[in-house]
Amino acid sequence: MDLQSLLPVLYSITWQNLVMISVGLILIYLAIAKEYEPNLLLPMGFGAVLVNIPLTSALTQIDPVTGKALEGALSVFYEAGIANEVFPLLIFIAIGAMIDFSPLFKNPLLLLFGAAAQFGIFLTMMGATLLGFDLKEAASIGIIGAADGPTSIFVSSRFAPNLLGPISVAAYSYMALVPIIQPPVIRLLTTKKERCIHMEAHAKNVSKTSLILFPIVVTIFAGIIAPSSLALIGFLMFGNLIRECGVLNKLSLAAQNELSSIVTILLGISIASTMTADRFVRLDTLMIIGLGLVAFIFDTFGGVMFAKLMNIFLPAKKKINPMVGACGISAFPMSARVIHGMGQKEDPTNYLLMHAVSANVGGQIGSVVAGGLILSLIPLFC
Amino acid sequence: MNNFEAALEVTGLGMLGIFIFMIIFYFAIQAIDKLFPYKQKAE
Repeated sequence: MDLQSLLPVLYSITWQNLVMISVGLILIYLAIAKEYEPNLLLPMGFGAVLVNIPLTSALTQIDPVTGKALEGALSVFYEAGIANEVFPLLIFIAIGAMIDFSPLFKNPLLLLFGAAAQFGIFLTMMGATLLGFDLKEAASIGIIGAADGPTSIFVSSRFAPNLLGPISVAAYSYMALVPIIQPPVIRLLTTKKERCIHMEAHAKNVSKTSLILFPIVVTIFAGIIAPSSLALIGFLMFGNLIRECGVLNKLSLAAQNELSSIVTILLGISIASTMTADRFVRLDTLMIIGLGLVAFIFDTFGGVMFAKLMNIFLPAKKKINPMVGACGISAFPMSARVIHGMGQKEDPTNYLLMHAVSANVGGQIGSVVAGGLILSLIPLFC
Repeated sequence: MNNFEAALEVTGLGMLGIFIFMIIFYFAIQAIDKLFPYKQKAE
């Protein structure tokens, strides 16, 4: 018996496999050493190693002798939870159970930043079409700008499952890089005077009934306006209703902890099943990584410029610190913390955290709405 | 219609749609807050 029969993997491995194994190791390094979204990047990184060793039994393979398919666990997970969009939706229940919407009731005007800061999604989508991607692929790439991993996975698994791997890597990597991406863009777009604007405090309590009604009302309105967005928004709001109703504390905690943890593990490692060398080691992947950065930059641009526009019409006492506009992305609470930190750096007496959190919560709703609208609009043009 | 033109149209409709959603949510929050204001519980 020769060495090739004993160790067939050594003879089948390609340079593309080695590149992907290196990508996997880099993701594991970033997750552990830099703590960049470790919940997702570590399973994805390990999964990338797992699926790029030739003849891996983690993926479904065709038996060369019998010609029958030998099912691999990761392929089964993919079909069971991502191809049919179940895993991202379960994550939405968990996220909904974690979100406290009460900051929005304190200053609901800041909800509008959750709309303005989705600008990067659409601008990137246009850019992607110019680079040769078709409309469905371009929309899936643009949604990286939602700064919301599950929304990106949900949209791309429906419109461009072939690009799911690079889109997920880009989405989660840039979410972790918000503290590096946003500050220079904000400094470029604002003057020191604008960054030092103090905002009026809105200290008020919110009734329990209001917090219970909010997810129900949002779901009904979303259903009337864009039924295609209902799965996304509905699951998010269902999770939130579990949290706020006050009689399902055990379920709320289970959604926030156990459900979130289990589905995150399955989601991360299942996405890795798409990170095979033949799908990933391509020029498209580099373009997607680049376009993802563009999306995050122009989200920040959209939020800041909208705040500046609003300030033209608002009275002097009600002016908005334009940095708060940048919190209209979904990366919660990282973006709010970054903006609060920047405000403190400019003026240690300026406390922007509460306002930044309100805009950031608006961003969480905005990103899901954007995902839902893309799901509704794109089929009309294809 | 080429992909870019379609993307341009989706951008217009999409941004408009998000703002409409958010404005509706804004009024929904205002209405809910007015109808069910926070009341301090009696000691």
